[in-house]
Formats: sequence, C-alpha cells, structure tokens
Amino acid sequence: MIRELPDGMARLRDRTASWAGELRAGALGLDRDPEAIRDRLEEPAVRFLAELGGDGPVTPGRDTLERVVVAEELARGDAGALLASPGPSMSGVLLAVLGSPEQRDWFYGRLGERPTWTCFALTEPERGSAIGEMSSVLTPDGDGGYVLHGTKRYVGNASRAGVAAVFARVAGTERLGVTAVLVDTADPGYRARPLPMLGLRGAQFSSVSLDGVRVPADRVLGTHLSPARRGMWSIVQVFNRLRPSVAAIALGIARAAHEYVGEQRGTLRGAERERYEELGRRIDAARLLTYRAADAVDARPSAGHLGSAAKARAAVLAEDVTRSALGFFGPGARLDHPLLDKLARDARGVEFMEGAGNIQKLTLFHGLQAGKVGRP
Amino acid sequence: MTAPAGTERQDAPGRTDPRTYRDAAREDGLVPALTLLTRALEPGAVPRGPGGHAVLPREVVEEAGVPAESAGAGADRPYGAGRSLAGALGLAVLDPPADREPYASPNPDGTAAQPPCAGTGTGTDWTTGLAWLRLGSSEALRDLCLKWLAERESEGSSLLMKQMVKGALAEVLIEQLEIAAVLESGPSAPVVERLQEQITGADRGLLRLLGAYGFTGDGPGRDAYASELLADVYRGAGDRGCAGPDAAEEGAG
Ligand SMILES: Cc1cc2nc3c(=O)[nH]c(=O)nc-3n(C[C@H](O)[C@H](O)[C@H](O)COP(=O)(O)OP(=O)(O)OC[C@H]3O[C@@H](n4cnc5c(N)ncnc54)[C@H](O)[C@@H]3O)c2cc1C
Repeated sequence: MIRELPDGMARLRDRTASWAGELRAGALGLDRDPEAIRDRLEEPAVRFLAELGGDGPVTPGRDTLERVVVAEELARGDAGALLASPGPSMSGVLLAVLGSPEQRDWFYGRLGERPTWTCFALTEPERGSAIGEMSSVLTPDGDGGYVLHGTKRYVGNASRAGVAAVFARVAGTERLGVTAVLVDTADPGYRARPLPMLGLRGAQFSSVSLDGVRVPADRVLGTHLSPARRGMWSIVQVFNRLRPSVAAIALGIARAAHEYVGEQRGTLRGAERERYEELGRRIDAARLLTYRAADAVDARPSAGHLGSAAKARAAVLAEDVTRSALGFFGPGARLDHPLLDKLARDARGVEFMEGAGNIQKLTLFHGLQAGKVGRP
Repeated sequence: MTAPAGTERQDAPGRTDPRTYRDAAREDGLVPALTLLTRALEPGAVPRGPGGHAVLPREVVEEAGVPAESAGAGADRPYGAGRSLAGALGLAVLDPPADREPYASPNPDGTAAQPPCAGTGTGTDWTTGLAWLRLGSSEALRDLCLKWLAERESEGSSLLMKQMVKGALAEVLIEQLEIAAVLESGPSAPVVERLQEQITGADRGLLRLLGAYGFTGDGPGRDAYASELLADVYRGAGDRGCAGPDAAEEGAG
C-alpha cells in the first residue's frame, strides 16, 4: 500500500532505499560511538545529506513530501545516521522560510567548503515544550546586531556543528517574540558538550551555552520580511514543514523492525503471522496519513494540523512495533538481536522531536475547535 | 504456584515476602533490589533465563565466581550501546554459555522458537519476584515524575497541573494498582508474563511525561531500560520447565 509518487520522487525513493544495507551495517557502531560518523563521510547516504539543498528539491513545490519519502527510507536504514550526518538538516528548512538570499548563500557557502554539521538550538533546560517562554536573550549591540546569552539542551550535533541556528528573545520584547539567528560556532562564547542518550545516539545531542556570542546584523533571520512574518509566524511554518519528516523517521524505524522480523523469522504462520501483518497494516496506514500531511503543507504552509496527527500517530507506532518485534524472538532477544534493541531505544526518542505528543494533541484540538482540521 | 503473599511481610521461615523486592526497588533502586532477590532465591548462583542469558548485579556474578564480562555464545556478535547502558548501572550482562546451541531458528510450524531450558533454578518464584521488583522500580519512576513535573512550568502553572498530564499519570496509576492486585493474588506463570508487559507499558507512559530528560543515558530512563532488559532475558523463565526443584514442586501443587 504505497501511494503513487511523482516520477522524480519515486526514483529518489529507490535511490535512498538502496543505501539501507550500508546504513544498517554501520548502525550498531554509531550507536556505540556517535563520533563514528566521521569515518563514514564518503558513504552515499551521508554525502547525500551533507549536500542536500544545494540543488533544490527534485519536485519543486513538493519539498515536504520529498523530505518525507527520503527520511523514511534513510531512517529505515538507520535513523541514527540520518540525524548524525553533516548537512543543512532542519536549519536548511529554517533558511528556506526565513533566510534572505544572502544568508542562504553564506550558509550553503559554508557547507560547500567541507562536510559541515549544523544544529537547530531551540530547547532550554527549564523550558522544553513552552517555546514562547524561552529565556535565551538577544541584547542589541547598537549596530543592528546583538549579543546572545542563554543555555540550550538536547540539541542534535551541537558539539560538532560549524553553524548553529539559535532561537532567542530580543531583550525587551513581548513574551512570544522569538527570533532566529545564525551563529558561527567558532565565535567566542559558544560552547557545546555532548550528553549521553539512550537512543538515536548518533546525533550526539548536546547542551549549549551561549555566553555573550556576537551576532552581526546580517545573521539575524527574517529581517527582510514584514514584521508580522518574522517571528513565531515563520517558526510555526518551519515546524509545519518539519513535522511530517519526523513522522517519517518514526515510520522508518517501525519498518526497519518489521522487516527485520520478516527477514529473520522467515515464513510465519497462524496467530504470529496475523500479528505480523497487522503491524504492517498499521505502518502503511500511518504512512498514508503522513503523506497527506506533507501534501497539505506543500499546498498551504500554514496547514500543519495533519502533520501533528501524523507525528503523534507515528511516534506511538514506532514504539509499539519495535516492542512487538522483540516478541517474535525468544527470551534474551534484546541481546541476541542488538539491532532490534537499538531500534526499540531509538523509537522512544521520536516522541519528543518537534513537540511532544501532548503538544501535538493540543494543537489538534485547537484546529478542531477552529474548524481547521477534520472537515472533508 | 507461589503461595499468595499474606498480609504480614514475614512469610514461612527462610522465605522472603516478595513484596520486599518492590519496597527495595522503590526505595533503594533496581540494582540493590535485584541483589536482594538473587541472594534470597538463588544464593551463590547465577540465575539464567530460558535462553541462557543473565542480567544480574555485577557483584552477585563475581561472588558466584563467574566472570562478569561475557565470553559466552554472543560475545563476538556486533553489539550496540545497550550493554554499556546496563553496565553503567552495575549490571553484568551474560550471554548463554559458549557450548550452548543458540536458538535462532523458528520452529517449522512457524511458532516462536522455544529454547531448550538453560535456566538454572529459575521458576515462578523468580519471575514473580522480578515482577514485584519491576513494579517497585516503576513506582519509583512515578514518584520521580510527580516531583519533576511539579518543578517544570508552562503558561503560569506547573506541568503537573495540566489536565492531560494528570490524566496520563492516572492511567499509569490504574495500571500499577492492577498489577499490584494481580501480584498479591499469587499469579500463575502466564499471568506473570502478561504483567511484565504491563509494567513496561506503565514505564513507557511515565517516560513520555519526563520529556527528553527520560531519554538521557544517565537519567531515570536507564533504569527503565534495565528493567525492560530483565523482563526480556527472564521472559518465560517461570513456565518453561526451567524451574528448580522447589518451584517445580509448587508448580505441581
Ligand atoms: C531525540 C531528540 C531530538 C531532539 N532534537 C532537538 C534539537 O535538535 N534541537 C532542540 O532544540 N531540541 C531538541 N530536542 C528537545 C525537544 O525539542 C524537547 O525534548 C521537547 O520540546 C520537549 O521538551 P522537554 O523534553 O523539556 O519536555 P517538557 O516540556 O518538560 O514536557 C514534559 C511532559 O509534559 C508534557 N507537557 C508539556 N507541556 C504541556 C502542556 N502545556 N499540556 C500538557 N502536557 C504538557 C509533555 O508532553 C511531556 O510529556 C530533542 C529531543 C529528543 C528526545
């Protein structure tokens, strides 16, 4: 039950799917040591991610769907490597929405020099879900630029990033006034320290401290846009575009576990077969929802509700499928099948990416109440 | 079947009331409780699950004279971070002994492979004790959730006071109360198996409430991971004929 995709996108799906074996082969090594990605920069999947964005989408106007298709296939190989790779990643989407042409040139220029990691620093130790209440602050320096102070946490790749997209409030503005800036991580005041995590370990989640980092005026994103489009409005658009791909990462993890059972157990019969097939049907259903969510955002960037639904559904699915998959093997499956153990750990992390499940549900409720979702 | 636990903590002489493991896990932590359980039920031994694996406190394994670093059947298999996460808690993770047939292949009729018994003296007492222990660990996680969420704020109130959070905590509480009720009844081996899944489900619900903190490798999620690992390794240890003489007798009675 795979929906028809436009020609170029189907080819891209097949191409990215063909890297699954190599990604899987490196998955446990990267799980043990997040730095192992540095030895894999020549792998096709890693190079693809490192260069992404330079050429634009293969099917313009359908970029969210395209990211979904790619994310599922790469996560089916190894979600850890997908998140661990250098490249524009989430910051690329941010730049597409909020960056001026000059800022994009600077960003992709940096990335073009050598494989460069980027990071997207939003979450704070005291404030995770409550984005609007963040306390990182940009203080005007009198020259149109700012000085940045704050602490961030759980930021993927922050300790090896060359460029960081950082979210903060401008001193003296209202509560929801969040601004995004680009930071050169070599600049004084930027420090990041890796955190040990239970899953998706390749991404080397880090805490970041920002102690008086200088942000020149031309690194402040959105200043070329109308004031109404600079702050939260744009940030919501960025999340709307990213959320379907997070759902797709969950789909990829679920599929990896499901396919592993199929490969290792061979022909299944009776109740086991029924159980296996039902998991497959659940994955397919969540994929259809995720594709719909991507289509909706591609058609109208503010149409994010389906993405919330897809992400919430797929995150639970990934946990369920990876847990169930272990049950197809005997006692000690977590030790005898370390890849399944890793998938079960990885699956748990998706819940918190781009907003926890409760936040997605609250968003959905507001959409329902406002008549923006759930209508034919 | 294990005699239903009485209202008093002191059971028959020489037997520890299994609720002790719950208290120990809740108050002292998963690993100290596992030490207590092993010393009470398998003194001087290294109890293995039906697949031949063991997950035990390192000190217990060393006391039994078994090397805590695995050199068994799976030692040369590629491995992920799971073992070091458990190791950092003070647990030894042992593969099946090297001379033991691994059972990777499914049965010809397509049912799940039933391993030949490699358990050493484990039985219903062990799996029931383990379930009590895991419940205690899950309750400790719940205690922590209450504390953690009370200290985090959004939109002028603590996360604990959000109705969705209250509802999610209540759901977990219902699970845990039911699990305790079933454990008190002296459940059969298949019922204990089901409880293990239920405990994992309760833990997962709590971990969601802890946000990314519950996903850190040195935080509360690591204990929950170790608890899942225990359930996995000793899965079916109560009903596959792996029981020691005591439990076998009780099983027949
Ligand atoms: C794998 C992974 C990757 C990540 N990548 C990044 C990254 O690259 N950059 C970055 O900045 N951050 C990243 N994060 C952090 C992520 O954005 C946060 O974990 C997430 O926003 C949740 O915040 P929190 O962990 O502080 O949870 P909290 O906000 O403390 O939430 C705790 C619990 O309370 C619930 N809750 C919160 N508010 C409400 C409410 N109003 N009503 C009802 N329930 C509520 C939540 O659902 C959750 O269950 C990542 C996290 C993970 C696990």
